[in-house]
Amino acid sequence: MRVGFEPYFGGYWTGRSRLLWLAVVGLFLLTAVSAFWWYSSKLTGKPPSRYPAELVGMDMSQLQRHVRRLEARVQKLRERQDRLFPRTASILVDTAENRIYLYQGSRLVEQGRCSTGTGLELTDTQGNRTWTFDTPRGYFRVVSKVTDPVWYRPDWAFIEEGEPIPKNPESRAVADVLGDYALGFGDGYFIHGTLYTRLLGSSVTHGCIRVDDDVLKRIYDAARPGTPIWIY
Amino acid sequence: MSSRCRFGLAPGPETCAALVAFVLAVQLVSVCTLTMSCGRAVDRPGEDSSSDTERLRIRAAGLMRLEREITAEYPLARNPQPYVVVNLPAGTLELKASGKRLRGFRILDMYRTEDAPLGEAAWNLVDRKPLQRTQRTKIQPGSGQDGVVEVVSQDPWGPHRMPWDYDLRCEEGRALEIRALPSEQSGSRFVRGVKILYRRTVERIRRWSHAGQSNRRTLQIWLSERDSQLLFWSLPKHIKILIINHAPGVRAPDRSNAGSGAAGR
Repeated sequence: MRVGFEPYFGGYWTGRSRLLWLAVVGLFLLTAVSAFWWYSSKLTGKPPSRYPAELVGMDMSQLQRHVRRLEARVQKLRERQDRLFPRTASILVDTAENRIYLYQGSRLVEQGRCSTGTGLELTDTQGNRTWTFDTPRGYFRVVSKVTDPVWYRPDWAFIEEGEPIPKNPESRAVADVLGDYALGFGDGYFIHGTLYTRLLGSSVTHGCIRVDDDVLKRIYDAARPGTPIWIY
Repeated sequence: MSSRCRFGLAPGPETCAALVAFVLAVQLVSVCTLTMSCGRAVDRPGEDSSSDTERLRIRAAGLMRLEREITAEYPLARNPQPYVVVNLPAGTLELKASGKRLRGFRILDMYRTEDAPLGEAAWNLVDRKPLQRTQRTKIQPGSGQDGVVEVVSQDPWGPHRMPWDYDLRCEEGRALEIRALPSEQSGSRFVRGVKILYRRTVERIRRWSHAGQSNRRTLQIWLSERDSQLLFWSLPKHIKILIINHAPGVRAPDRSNAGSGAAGR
């Protein structure tokens, strides 16, 4: 029995010719659908602009003037922003690398190893109080400068050593453990010297920043109350 | 019944082959015409092919982008508190203070929910929520300084102990989600590929399972493991996060300057 295009093709709508016609129709449909998707996606919405709209209509000379203006403006903005960094001394502490940097304006004038917080936790024997020995992050200022500092041991220092906490405040004072100088930056935190110089570069402190004596001396001399400290 | 078709051609395999060739040729011509017309349809008005003009436009666009970035950053830089700049077109995340870069990281990938704001916006960090727990070592009362040193030398504290997947929750329901891709040191290329696939799948499932439960405006940033941990380590409890996200169409700058973890000095 003959069906389909028989009236047009007589007895030839069979075998290879049928396959060829199907291929033609299939290809046509495929091409038409692909072209539709491609074309519609190109024309859907506004074509993306590669530049801000105001640049599109400018000719060469206008663009040159515009670029010069922009360069000048950006330069001014950069200079304005650069002026925000203190021109006097500033101290940066990289706690990941355990390094301390002293800047005068944008110039690095001193750097060295330091030690920062251990990250350990201590809980007292009654379980009432817990201390976490971290060096704080963020912005601080030098609030005090001390020569030959004396350490007034806090409660955790006695608990850590397994000693009774004294009633008399003077029993807390210990000389010669903080080095020759100390810079306080609030909440009992100091940048100070150390007896444990072999541990510099490691995170071994209770939150203070221990520095080698030579570096500390230069930082101490450069710092004033109010000198910014960035710890990160 | 006629043995000739209505096209007046003698039917046969040769005729059919000729027809196929003809139709294909017509389609080829049509597609070429369509391509050319579409190409013309998306031509930008006023753009010519002059390379100098093109170069100037690129330069001007770059400068305009820089101007916007510096202007957006300036109010944060005036305050001495550190801040974070997430520059999405540049693919960088920087920790800065008074305009000085303290640390810089390269963004490997990003994802943004529909209602995360576009343009320059400063977010205020209020909480950090790690997805992995960070176990701190405890010291026993009475262990003394030597005991502390021993503990610390065995299990040192540092960025490597920080979580690499965490959410930086900000005010107004915003969140900057930091996710990490395995570093190159984390195994062979195959192992790394499997890990990447696993983490991305987990994140996709997490995102899918939380879809519709919250109205948070979320920006998700993918960093390397090391960078992600270092960022967590370096952040203060409260900080402003500036998101720079230019309007689409403004070209991204060259990423070759994007540092990774190193301070800008």
